Amino acid sequence: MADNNTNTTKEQCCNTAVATPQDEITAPERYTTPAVDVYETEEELVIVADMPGLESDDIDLSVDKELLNLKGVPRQKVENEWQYEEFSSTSYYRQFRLGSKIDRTRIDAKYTDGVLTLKLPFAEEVKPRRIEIKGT
Amino acid sequence: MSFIMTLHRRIDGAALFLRRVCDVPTPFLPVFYVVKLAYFLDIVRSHEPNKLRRFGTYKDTKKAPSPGEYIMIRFFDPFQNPNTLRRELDSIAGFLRNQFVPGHPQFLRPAAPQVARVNLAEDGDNIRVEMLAPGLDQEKIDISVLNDQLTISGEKKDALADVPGEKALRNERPKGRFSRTFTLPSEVNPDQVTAEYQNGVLKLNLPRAESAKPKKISVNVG
Repeated sequence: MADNNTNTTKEQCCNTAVATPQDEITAPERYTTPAVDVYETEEELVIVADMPGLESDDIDLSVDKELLNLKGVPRQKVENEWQYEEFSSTSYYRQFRLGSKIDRTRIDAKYTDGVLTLKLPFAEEVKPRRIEIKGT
Repeated sequence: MSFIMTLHRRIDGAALFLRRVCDVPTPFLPVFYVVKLAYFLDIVRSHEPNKLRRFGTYKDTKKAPSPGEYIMIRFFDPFQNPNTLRRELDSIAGFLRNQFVPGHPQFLRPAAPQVARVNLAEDGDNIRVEMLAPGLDQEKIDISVLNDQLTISGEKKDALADVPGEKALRNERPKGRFSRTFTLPSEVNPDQVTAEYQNGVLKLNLPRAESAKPKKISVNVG
């Protein structure tokens, strides 16, 4: 029974929380798609995104119906004359499609060391629950 | 065989064109041949018969053209936009031209690694290095300097370390240990190297060693 429950949850998350490439639309300016790790726990879905070089004010998160928009635009453009350059400071943009099982009112975001951690709790009614069987 | 002869003639013609237009030095022409050949092979491999515009006798046939026919159609089609061929040649010429600009040999330069990318700037007194490294374990950042060799190593925390496999839905971020060693433009004073880690960017300031600072030489007019 418990196994069944976890399987269902996973399927829902796979289908709903992670956008397929067709779902991701382009932003008007040049941007980088941040690499993400996504995993789930009993209570929530966690998205971890690498977005280095921003301040926490630069990140703009919004939920529009079923789309979660993740956007980061560095406000302070530091002009540097690099003699050797492997990276440049860019904007970040990515979208995720959220399932109806996620409670949009309690989304929690944290930005530390260039890593954005998003916690998307499941709505109370979808949490896996163990059902006690009463013997007569 | 006639197809191969045509191909040869075509390549020679294009090579001559390149030599005239963008001064590709003659010793590098073999490079051009290789690129051009790869280009042809790629076209042949990725061809889509349905989208192809055919002319003459090919128009009514249903079967896909052979590679030779394909090239003939592609490059000798009188109805194709004359700019297409020119654009193709221009893109190859532009690619080749960039290879021979000093300091910008894209072809020869190794691709930047996916993790721990660095930028470097220098002025008279200091060398500044920035490394893009989000989510490092701060206790495991290790920076060492020996003469003009800078080594930065560290470890990226793995967010999925404690997550069972079936609960991990996306695994895109690079993780684990890394180490990179650079040869700096000059020797630096290892005692005065400062480093700060802010918003996923590791910023180093390395003052040059006294012996490596540029000296002004005044000219005595006698």
